[in-house]
Amino acid sequence: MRTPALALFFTLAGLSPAFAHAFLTHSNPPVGSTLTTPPTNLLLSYTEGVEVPFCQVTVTDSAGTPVQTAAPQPVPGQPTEMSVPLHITTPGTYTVTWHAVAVDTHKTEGSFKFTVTAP
Amino acid sequence: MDTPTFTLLRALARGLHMVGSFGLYGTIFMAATLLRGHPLPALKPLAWTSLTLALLAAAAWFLLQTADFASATTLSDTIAALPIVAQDTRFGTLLLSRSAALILATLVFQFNFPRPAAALAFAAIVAESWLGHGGAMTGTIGTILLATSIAHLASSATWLGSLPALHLALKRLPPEPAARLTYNFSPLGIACVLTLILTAAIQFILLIGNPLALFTTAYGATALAKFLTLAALITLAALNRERLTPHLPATRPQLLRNINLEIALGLAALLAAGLILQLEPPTMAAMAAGS
Repeated sequence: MRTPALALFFTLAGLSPAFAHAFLTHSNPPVGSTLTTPPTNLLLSYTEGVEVPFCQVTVTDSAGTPVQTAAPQPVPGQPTEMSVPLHITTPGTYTVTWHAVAVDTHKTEGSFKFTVTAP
Repeated sequence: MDTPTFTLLRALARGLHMVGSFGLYGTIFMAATLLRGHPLPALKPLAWTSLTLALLAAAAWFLLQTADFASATTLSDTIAALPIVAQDTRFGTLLLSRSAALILATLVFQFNFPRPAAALAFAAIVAESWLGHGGAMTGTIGTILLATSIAHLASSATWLGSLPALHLALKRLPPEPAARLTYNFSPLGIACVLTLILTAAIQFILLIGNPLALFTTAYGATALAKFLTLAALITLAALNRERLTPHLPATRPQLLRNINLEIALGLAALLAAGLILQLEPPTMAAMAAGS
């Protein structure tokens, strides 16, 4: 089968090129969201399985003070996810900076913000 | 440990691990199939030499990858992270279990059980697919990439890994069985080549996407180098099949030289594979730029 034929096959099958390596697919709190209740936990989901012992996540307030209370934890049964316990007591904008190591050994990183307002 | 030098060292270690493990599997595979009934004592030293290379390269890869995982800047930081990598990462558990399977395969082969030994070595070869993009991803794309990786590794290990044993046999067997061996190897080589072309095409679509990326990205350029090496290998194999094999044993010296050249090209292709597995696929780079 030639490459154009394969391209046609994948097009017809609705498939798109692969996004190899671990990229953030969604998070809770969501990227850019505004919350009225401070979250007690940050959940990060990726396109690939992650090696949690070597992943790093920091969540800081507008003054740069970390609000995560522990290192990232694996989520049982969800190899593409990790969670980070948080202790947020004041409204404000928080910055999440993550460094992920995928099970295919590749590293990725990124950051996003979410906001907590007074209820 | 994210410097280009360490990336190249990891690529070299991974490539040499493939060279050693492919050579081991190919040697045992030949003993279990095309060379069955033609005992060649030199195959066992060849298997042990391949195993030694595979294990030394695996040890280097394990150390370098651990340093990268832990972002270690000193040897003591790296050593401290070794148990975590060994126990808690897919890379560590897979590399250690695959290495154990390769050792076991060599021992089983040493005691003259080539078929179970070949099955063990084959399992160790294809298990590396779970360390690639397909093994890491979920969903349909992940399944397709995993399946193509398994087929790609199986066919390249069967073809390229068998070449040293083929060279050895062609050199040492009497003319008639040597000619028959070469004839019988040919359809196996064709099947492997067709599988390699098909799986490479699928991987091109999913991981590279745009032909321009072959010239504008490190990943694409390495893939192009691999493709050109494969094209040269196919040309040589076709030359052997059409021009030299029909005139054996008169063409045996030329055929041996060509197989040596094929082995050298295979080595280059596997080192390129070690490098490409360290690089960022263009489809991912596009996503990163767009995020």
